[in-house]
Amino acid sequence: MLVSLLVPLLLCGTLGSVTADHSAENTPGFASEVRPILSRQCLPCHGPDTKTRKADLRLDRREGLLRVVQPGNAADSELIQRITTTDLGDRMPPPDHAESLSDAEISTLTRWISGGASWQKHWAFQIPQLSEIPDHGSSENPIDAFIAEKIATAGLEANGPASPRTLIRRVHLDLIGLPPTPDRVARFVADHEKDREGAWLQLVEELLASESFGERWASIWLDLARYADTKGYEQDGNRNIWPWRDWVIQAFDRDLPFDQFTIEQLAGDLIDSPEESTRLATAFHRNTMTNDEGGTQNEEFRVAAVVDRVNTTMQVWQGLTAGCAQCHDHKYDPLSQKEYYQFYDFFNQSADADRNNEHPVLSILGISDKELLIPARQRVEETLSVLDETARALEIPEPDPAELDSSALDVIAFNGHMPALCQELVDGRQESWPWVAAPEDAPEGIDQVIRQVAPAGQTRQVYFERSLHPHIVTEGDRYLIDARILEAPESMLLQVRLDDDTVWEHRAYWGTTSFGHGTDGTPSLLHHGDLPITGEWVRLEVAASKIGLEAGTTVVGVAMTQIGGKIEWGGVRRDSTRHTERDDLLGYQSFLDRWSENPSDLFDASIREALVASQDQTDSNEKLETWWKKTLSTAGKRLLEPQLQAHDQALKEQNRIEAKAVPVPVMVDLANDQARSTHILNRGSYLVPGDEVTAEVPQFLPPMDPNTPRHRLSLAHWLLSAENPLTARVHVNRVWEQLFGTGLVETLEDFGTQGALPSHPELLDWLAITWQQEDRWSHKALLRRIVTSETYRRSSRSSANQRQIDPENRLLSRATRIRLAAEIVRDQALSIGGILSPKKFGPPVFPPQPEGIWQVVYNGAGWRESEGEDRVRRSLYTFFRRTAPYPTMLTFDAPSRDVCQSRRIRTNTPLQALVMLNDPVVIEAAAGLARISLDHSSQLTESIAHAFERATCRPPSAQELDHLVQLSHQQQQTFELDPEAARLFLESGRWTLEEVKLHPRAATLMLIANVLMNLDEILVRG
Amino acid sequence: MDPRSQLFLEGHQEMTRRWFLGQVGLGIGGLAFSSLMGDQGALASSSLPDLSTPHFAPKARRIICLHMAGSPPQQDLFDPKPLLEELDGQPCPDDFLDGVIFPFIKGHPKILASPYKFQRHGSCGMEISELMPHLGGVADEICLIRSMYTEQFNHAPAQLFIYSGSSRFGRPSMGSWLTWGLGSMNEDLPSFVVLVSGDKTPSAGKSVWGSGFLPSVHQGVQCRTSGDPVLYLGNPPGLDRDSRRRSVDTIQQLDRIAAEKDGDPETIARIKQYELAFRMQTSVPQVMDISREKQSTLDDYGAEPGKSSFANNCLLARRLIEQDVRFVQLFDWGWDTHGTAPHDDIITQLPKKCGESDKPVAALIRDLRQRGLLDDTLIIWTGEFGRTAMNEERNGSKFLGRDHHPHCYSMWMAGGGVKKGYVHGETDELGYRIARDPVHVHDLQATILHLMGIDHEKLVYPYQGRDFRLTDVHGKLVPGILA
Repeated sequence: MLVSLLVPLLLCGTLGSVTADHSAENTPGFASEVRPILSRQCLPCHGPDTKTRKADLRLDRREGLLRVVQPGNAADSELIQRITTTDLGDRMPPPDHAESLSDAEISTLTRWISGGASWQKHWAFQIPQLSEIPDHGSSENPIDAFIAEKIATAGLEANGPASPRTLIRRVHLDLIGLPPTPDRVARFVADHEKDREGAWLQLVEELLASESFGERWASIWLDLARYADTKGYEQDGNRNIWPWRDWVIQAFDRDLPFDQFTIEQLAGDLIDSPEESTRLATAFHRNTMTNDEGGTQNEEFRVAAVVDRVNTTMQVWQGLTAGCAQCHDHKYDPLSQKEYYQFYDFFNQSADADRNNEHPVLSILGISDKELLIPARQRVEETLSVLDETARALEIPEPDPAELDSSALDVIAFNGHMPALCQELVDGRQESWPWVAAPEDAPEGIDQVIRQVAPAGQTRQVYFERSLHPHIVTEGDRYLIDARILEAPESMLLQVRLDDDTVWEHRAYWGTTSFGHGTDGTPSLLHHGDLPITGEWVRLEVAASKIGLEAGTTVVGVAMTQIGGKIEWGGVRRDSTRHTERDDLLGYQSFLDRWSENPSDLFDASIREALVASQDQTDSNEKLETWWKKTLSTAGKRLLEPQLQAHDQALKEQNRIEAKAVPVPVMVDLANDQARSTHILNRGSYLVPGDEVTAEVPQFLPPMDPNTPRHRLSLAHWLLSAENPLTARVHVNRVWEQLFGTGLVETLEDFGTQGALPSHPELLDWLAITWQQEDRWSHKALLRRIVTSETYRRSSRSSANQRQIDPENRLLSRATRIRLAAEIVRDQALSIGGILSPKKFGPPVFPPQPEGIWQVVYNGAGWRESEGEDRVRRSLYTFFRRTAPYPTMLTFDAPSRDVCQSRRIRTNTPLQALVMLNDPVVIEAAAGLARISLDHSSQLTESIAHAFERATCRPPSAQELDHLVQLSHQQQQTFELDPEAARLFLESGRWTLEEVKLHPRAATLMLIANVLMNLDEILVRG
Repeated sequence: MDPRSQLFLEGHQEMTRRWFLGQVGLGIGGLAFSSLMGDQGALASSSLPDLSTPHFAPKARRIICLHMAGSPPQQDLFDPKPLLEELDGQPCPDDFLDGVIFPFIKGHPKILASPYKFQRHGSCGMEISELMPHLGGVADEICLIRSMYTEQFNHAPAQLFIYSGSSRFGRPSMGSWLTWGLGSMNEDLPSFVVLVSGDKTPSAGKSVWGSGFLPSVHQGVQCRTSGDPVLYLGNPPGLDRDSRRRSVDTIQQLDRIAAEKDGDPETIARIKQYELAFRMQTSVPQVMDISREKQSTLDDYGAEPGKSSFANNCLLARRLIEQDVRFVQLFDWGWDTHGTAPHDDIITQLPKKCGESDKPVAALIRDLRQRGLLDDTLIIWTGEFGRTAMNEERNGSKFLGRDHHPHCYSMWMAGGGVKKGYVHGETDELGYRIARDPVHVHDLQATILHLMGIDHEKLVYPYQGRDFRLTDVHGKLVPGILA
């Protein structure tokens, strides 16, 4: 019998006939009724797990079932015999199994076999099929037709559309996570009256294009990506991965198609010509935790991170729970432990290894800084071209011989003159132009000074080092320093540097001996007298011989130094019988003739080449001359000072912005010669490696092209291939859950055999296919398709009949009221209160949080409360510490982001009530709403009605208004009797109101606003 | 609908509604079975079946868990090893190092004798270190296990392992499992309260009292000894209790109007939650106010009103238990005695920590006994792992201390259903490995659940396609310690 059946059965792909499911009314469906029983009761011992499989019998496979099932003949089927026998030795499941079969389950199995024992592969592992769109209802949107069919079958009636006010609030909260403004509500209500459909479509387009769109959808992705601003585990140190969060926001804003979104996050480093943004995208998988705890084995936690990447990838794109197979073959789904580690191999080649520095990292500038950098770079370019053009046009005559008069003092650094190409350092920072215009009362001949201020006890100095013009000391040389003390320092010094090994050990000082170098009383630190009088220009003298400068030695640097005080330095000159010839005082032609006498390493390679080339050329090199004018020629530099300054400022600004780049951990694969070998880890332990495996996808899913290399990029393409049955379904279902409260497949996190079956399988498949093929994976197109359906726009009121027949509203004959997510709860309050900051992107912020939340072992990080608008940013910007998340987020059911989470469990607790009643953030928002309503009208009732409408998007009913007015009367009395209480309450909302008379009224309105923000209607999306 | 999905969804809604509702012994764990046996309607209706005796008659109704975060050294407190003294300073046996990884010890470490004497206490003659004289006074109440072992030797994973059965993040904690399975006994207070001392939260952070995939209502509520005892409990400045009452009344009035209009039972649930929140505003500060205690009681514990200390937390634990809070979890930081400096060695730091905790712990046991609460309250005292028989000598440190050691450690329990004045298990002569009756962390968890009347294999929660439980797929009851 078995043998004769096998051949035709294998051909047609079922145990019995394909149509058996529909042939008899009473025959239970395999997928909906039979498989769940087999899966739960039989597969633990007769399933995919080879280690626990008994009697070598596999009931998750057709072949295995055929060994114990005779289609059409229940009585002769061993399966039925075994589950019904009274012989405990033979009885299945065995008595020690946690559960036994109920009579109903036995009956289901019996009827299934009698009805032909139809068999199907698990629905979710088969490629989606387009089925005919049912001819139901009047809507043109196929979604409505699929939904209408089931509603009709169940004997329900669909609700009509919700009111325009409900609709605009619903779609605002759903698409951008914020409520509409009262003006927008009014406009929509008016438009809606004229053209219902047109108004809706326009509103939807407006929201899809909104600046706030990406922030809403990113926060959902952050749960999946287990995004946090810390590394987790005991130390839980901070990590800079927020630029990736901003990448996600932008990706949703610009509607990066989901296939590209996937490829860049999983393998943005491996695509052809990766860009900074695609490499940044790979930080998705660097959101794994890093253990910095002392004494941990890095390999253990590296393995844990790779395991997390496998589980997260399977969960996010395939809706499967692979984690079990880490330790043993999956009990229910056909994923073996070997296949698990084959999949693991795709992620095992990344270079990260639980290092404290999170290597490898990519230096990334935040989006707003990037935006700032564009004009800054432009400014650098502009100032440079102005500088160059001015320089080019500049005529610098060969010098007046008088200026080179050998009787003049030898200028070292004086009055804006500096040795050519010297490094001008102010406190170690290179400055292109430290000079500023001298005050009018400066002595004749000084019109440029360097003004230096040093805090008490601290040293400040200006160096001139490494120039074209070292000078040779001559017998009798004296150094002359012009300066004026504005505030007395402790001491001032001249330091001179030789090119021998005595270097800077040549110092003269005035004032006290407080300098940290040299030996007092020797040439390395020699007292030259008291400080000069404050406020007067003086010329100080130092004989070269006194500070150890012997004739014939070469001076390569001087420094003007002060400890404390404020000094205007005119500069340093040398009085000598022997002058140094100075290129910077020469004309261009003289410089060209003589440059080779200088140490050539002072010139950049490109300049050196140009100089060499100029020797063979008769044509003048304009570029070289321009360089000379702006870099070498003192005359040129003095004439170009404004342009040089402008360019310098622009460069500084550019550097300042660029320095804000942060190191973001990203995915980088090891070089081929360093590739890791991947082993099955017995019991999941990194200490017990088993057989070696290489990257491959699980067999129960479509195969990967054998010719493509086995790396993350191929894996991403495989997930997105038309043959992959899960990726599109899983994401479409995720979006559906956001808009309807429950997924078409309720278990978002499990599309495997243990997961729930889809409520509308044809609709799910239709959405999955059209999304890929027509919408080209566009997230916005998918949302547009869904929210323009009639189903989405239904009223949420429920009749007794609806609650009776369909308590969970799986058939969607009405809209589901959805409790708002943590982020939206807070953002909405701030928005209603008119205090939400629109600022996007950037490092995480620290809104007010009670003391003592952060007490992390071995981590001194403190919660430094943000100031200004950063206190009231959207919630997804709040700093997320894994070991101590923002308490309001936790209370409203946000996960701790340790691992990927597909679905938030929404609860309703008194702790939430306490947050909404008393959290200072909510109180501040209430103050904002009260202020707005107080400004709106001088009539209390009108103020209250206005606040109500701003909060709920609808005017209050007479009854509602009555309750609120009653409260306000009582409360105003209380506050009038105790004005101090009113003031305190206002202050708690950061509201300072000058007019004391208004305090009781304002405080009363604030309490009304507090009440409004606690209404069920506000905390729920209706 | 798939019954398991139905359980998932409705279980959440139902438990949300039932939080604080005071149904004694409600067992969703048991409920899972009835639902799967075909009784799908049970959950859909608003009245849950009475499951006051979930799996067995419970021996304990409440738990106080005292966690010494960082892990105390068993050799210096509960597991005397005279041979250590003989071998003090000598290299440890070679086989101690076979295939073993130490977090900090490098090279071949030397044996470290305990600097402390042990005395026999009570009629049972239990040996306890001189560092814990007060505990010695109640030795006849103690059930000491000297043969505990774990699989983790870093703090965060080891703490998670004890409290969630898994060393990785994401699983529900023991207190969450218990309150989910057994429900609440007090309608004005959270069922699962956490108190922290030593100025630090535990290494694994708030995950050790997190609810994992269970509904978040079951997460531990950290009660604080400064500021609001529960976050956002206090009204804003200037708002008195009458005003709050009136405003909550108005919220409820408007919600009732909405409930009539929309017909959503969740709205009714919210009305109830606001009432409970309002009640908590007085009930929590009351229970947290130890200044209401007699001076003699404060003296017994060494508690001082207004301060933040382990002693205060022990007294608070009794006050909470008295109000039938189901699970009180204390964490006390500072037991990680590596010996890198006086602040973490066994000469200065260990006596300091013992001095802070010995008296209040003994007082807690006596106090509960005197009030007749010890019989059905289980006290658990533990660290997350043991410490080595060898001196750590990190970077040649001259201070004495011990490295992490997962292979054996001591912990004790008292009260609710465990043997009194009893020592379970034994380690080898050097206290390095277990010699007799090993108890794995999962075994301990199974036994704790058993004492609370729960079969650890049956308290399961379907999530992501499989049944999860506190003991993962392991755990055996330890009958030897049951009274």
